[in-house]
Amino acid sequence: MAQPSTWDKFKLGALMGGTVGLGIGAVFGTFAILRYGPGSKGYLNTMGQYMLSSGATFGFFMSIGSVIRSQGTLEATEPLATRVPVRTRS
Amino acid sequence: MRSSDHTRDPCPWVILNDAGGAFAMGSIGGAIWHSIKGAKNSPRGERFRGSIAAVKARAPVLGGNFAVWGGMFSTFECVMKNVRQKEDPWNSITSGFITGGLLAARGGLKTATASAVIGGVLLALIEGVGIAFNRLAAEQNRPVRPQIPDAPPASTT
Repeated sequence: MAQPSTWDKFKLGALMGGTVGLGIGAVFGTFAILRYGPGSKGYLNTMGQYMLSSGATFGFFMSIGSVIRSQGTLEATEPLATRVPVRTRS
Repeated sequence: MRSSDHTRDPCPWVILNDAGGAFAMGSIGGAIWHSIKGAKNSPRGERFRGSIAAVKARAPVLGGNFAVWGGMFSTFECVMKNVRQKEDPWNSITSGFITGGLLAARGGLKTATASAVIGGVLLALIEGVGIAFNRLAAEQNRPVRPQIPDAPPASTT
């Protein structure tokens, strides 16, 4: 099984974070507009700003978060039972 | 109890792993974030020093906040796994709800409830997107039936 490269993980994390962030922005943007009104920029702009900024923030942090995890993928191919003796022997 | 996800550590240890990972994520992200923000908010000529000062003051704090969230979330997820004896998205959604609520507990019941709902919605979205991405990936490399050339292609002649 091929290891995903760091750049691949970065892209996947950014993509996932961006998607999650867009969703979060949609949920909380809708809520904020319902609660406080659209503000001075109109409904669509407020909504778009909510969604894009939270998407960018989440994408940023989740891309970092997926890059710094480098150990889990190494062990992913083996089940737990086979990897414990190897670990204690070394 | 063995977890079905072998890419992660077994339960009590995954808390440490998550807290540390979250700290690193917050610190690195905070360093990048505040280096830009600090430079932007400093007067010209002081931009570099302002940026360094902002990073030094704020990035570890953000890392700590992330670590508290991650560690607490992971703790509750382990509790959920052991209490319910099953693993599904509801574990992490409930953990997000409890974590969000507990961390805002000092703000009073109303604030805590709002924060808990935010935590739950957040984790529900993350889980949903994770499931969707997994399904997409599975769809892409779905095993294709090999075409067995047992019947002689009579029509091509």
